[in-house]
Amino acid sequence: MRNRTLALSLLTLTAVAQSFTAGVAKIDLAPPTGIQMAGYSTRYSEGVHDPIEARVLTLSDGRRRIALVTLDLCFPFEPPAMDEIRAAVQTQVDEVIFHASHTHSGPTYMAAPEALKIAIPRVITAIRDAATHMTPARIGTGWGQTYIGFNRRYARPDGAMHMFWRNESKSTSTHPVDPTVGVIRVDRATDGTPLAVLVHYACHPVIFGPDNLDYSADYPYEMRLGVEEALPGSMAFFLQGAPGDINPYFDKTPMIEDAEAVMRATGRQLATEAVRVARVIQTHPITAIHTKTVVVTSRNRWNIEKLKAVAEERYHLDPLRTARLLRDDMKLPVTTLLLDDSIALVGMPGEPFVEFQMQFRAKSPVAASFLLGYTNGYFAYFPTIAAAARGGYGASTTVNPTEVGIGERMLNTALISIYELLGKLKPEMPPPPKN
Amino acid sequence: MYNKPAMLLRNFVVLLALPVAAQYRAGVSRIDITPKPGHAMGGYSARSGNATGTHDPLQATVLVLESNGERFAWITADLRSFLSTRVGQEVKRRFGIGHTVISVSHTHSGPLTWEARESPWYAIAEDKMIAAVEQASLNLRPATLATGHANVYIGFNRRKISEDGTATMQWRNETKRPSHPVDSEVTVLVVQSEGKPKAVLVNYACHPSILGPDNLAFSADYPGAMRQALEQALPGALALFVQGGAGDINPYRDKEPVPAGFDAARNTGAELAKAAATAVQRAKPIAGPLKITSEITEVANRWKPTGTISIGITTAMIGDGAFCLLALPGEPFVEHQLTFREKSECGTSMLAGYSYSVGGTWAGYIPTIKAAVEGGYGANYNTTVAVGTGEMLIDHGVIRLLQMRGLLKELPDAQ
Repeated sequence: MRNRTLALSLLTLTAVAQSFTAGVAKIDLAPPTGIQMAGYSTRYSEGVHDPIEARVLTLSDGRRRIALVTLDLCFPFEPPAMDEIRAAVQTQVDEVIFHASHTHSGPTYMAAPEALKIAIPRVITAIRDAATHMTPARIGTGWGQTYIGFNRRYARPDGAMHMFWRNESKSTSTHPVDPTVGVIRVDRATDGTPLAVLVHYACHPVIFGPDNLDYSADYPYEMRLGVEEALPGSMAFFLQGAPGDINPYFDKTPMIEDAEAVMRATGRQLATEAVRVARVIQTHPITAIHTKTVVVTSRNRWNIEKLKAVAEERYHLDPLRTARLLRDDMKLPVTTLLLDDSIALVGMPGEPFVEFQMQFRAKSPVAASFLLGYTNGYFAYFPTIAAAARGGYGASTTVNPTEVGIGERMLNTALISIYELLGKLKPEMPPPPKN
Repeated sequence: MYNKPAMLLRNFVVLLALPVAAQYRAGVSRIDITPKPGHAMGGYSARSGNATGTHDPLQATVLVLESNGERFAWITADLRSFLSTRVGQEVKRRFGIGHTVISVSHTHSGPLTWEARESPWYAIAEDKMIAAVEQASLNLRPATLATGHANVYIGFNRRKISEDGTATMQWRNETKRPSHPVDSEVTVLVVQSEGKPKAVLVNYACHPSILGPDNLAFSADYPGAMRQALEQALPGALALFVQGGAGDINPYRDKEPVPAGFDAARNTGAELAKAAATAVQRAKPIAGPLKITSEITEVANRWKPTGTISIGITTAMIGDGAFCLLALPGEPFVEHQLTFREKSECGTSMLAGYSYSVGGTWAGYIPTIKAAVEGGYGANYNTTVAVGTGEMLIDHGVIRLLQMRGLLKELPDAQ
């Protein structure tokens, strides 16, 4: 009798250990037109090119369920909205990670509380939808390369930093580019067909410029179409990497020069490589999902009293940007998602320069490691220390409220989180070996 | 005729430039700080018994630098560790020297220090250091500076990483099997007066633990031998040893029993002196004002996350990155030194470990994040600072240096 109970509980344990499940859902956030758009100087939307969506991937190891919410927005929602959504789904989902693509053709929810009231219940619906339609799953990762972006920082011979926003001749930059296309494929365990394809790449979604007044996810929209056409039955997701200094070659293409065609060609180029990689990925089950969020604090980088006095007339900032620049005692969440010891996603709440993504991949002990910007908050740009000293946009300008070195600190924090989640950094000192 | 205004302007600029051109004055001194026999020794738990005598004297050698009113006292001492705010405070009060750094060599054949701070020797050592600074500052002479580099291998990385990713300690490596990472670079700061070297600061990363626990005679270990050999090669100059990021670097002939240990220390010191002499020969003049800043930063205690550890650090620069110093009161692993050199972008950079300056406590071992995971001595035991402390301190120093170079401003650039 006792043996049978033991056998039964072992069986249950085994069943739990193998119960890796996943779900997907998407919803149109349906932002009304006429509200402020996010990304360039103030402008108001007039129409819709393609829907502004929330796409949700839920993952469960049988014990914890997490939801990754990818948003066709310039920034994730503000903390109160994220908290509201988390609270609404807390019985279904243990942790919600919000990640924005950084499209510059989406709405500014901060300036449109009525639009936010429409979006929040929709996001909640999508998370619940994904959480209640979970299917046994397998997961795998792969890597490819493509060049759709370039480093927009150009060091002149005298060291002065010059920003070049557009690079249609595809000339070589003085600063690094990461051509890596990271792909995460989630399969239905039942028949091996792809349920979700997540495409990670670092490049500003700014092919549509300020003259475009129609909502759009920009090139990630077309990338997702391309992936879903090639892999029917799957839902495609875009994961923005660390593009703090990376622009697309065809930045801000004027509408009269057929920006739409350029946006589609760029998205298709990324899709083509992502599909090639996705097709050859081998998937496997996951036994444990871990998450950890560490809050890194930062003072304001500047002489804040002097800055307050000159912020508006010297830098011509609107009140929203002024408020963002003058924040102090900032609390930056660094979120780590670890699937067994095989896949790590780290989210930073802002725009890390691309070197952080490359350093993270090189230093992380997990083979498939992805750094995501624009995650769980927004504190503008995170340059490297060396870049902060060289200057340029996003390095030593009004979009740099946080301390120099904050990116390095967050990267080290994430590495420590990964080691802790792997059980390789323990809170207690081990006994010294006897020798 | 048309050239005349330009000529006038040029003369005017030269006249203006003269007073701000960096003029250095330097003074040096040395004092014996060896305790009397019978004092407890520090360095090894396996040692039984107090000191029975002195093999070679423990010394404090001092360099005082003055540039445009900024004064800096750099005390280098043959001790395992040393904490003192009194020395810095007295030096400031009595001699108007704004910044004091006490860099100890980390010899394992010196006295027990902090643990024996109630012993009369401790206050005597402080008084002697203050007296040595006074003597050096009373003899300030116009000086020029130069820095140089050379390479030598006297140490190895004592952490061996197994296939499972964990570290085991290999304290001794007589056969000189390859190890990683190691920094073979010797850097020197040469202070010249009247065309002759007056002081040579030698920076290298390696535990002075050639003499082991069986040795009960006070000794400066290989750094003392290095000084002796270098001073013989450069008559009239005082040599100063500045320990680097030696947290994971041991000498090949670690804990060599005496009397062979005394020979090994002498030979190793001579090897380092030879490389240092090469570096002096290769040294190139540096110029520009001295900038220096000291501060206390707080880090978490790795084993008690609610507890904090105060770490005093001093950052200094000569010229526009010609010479850069980051002084930390603990034992950084050597990779931090390599990272500091790369990220500081200076002509010559010195990471001075084992260096107490502005206050705070002794930080102990400062491993890298990766080493903390791999474990081992000073990496996951016998270390208390939060994981990531070293990376943070190095970045902090790099940021201070960039500020000194005027590259980090107090207001954003206009776009």
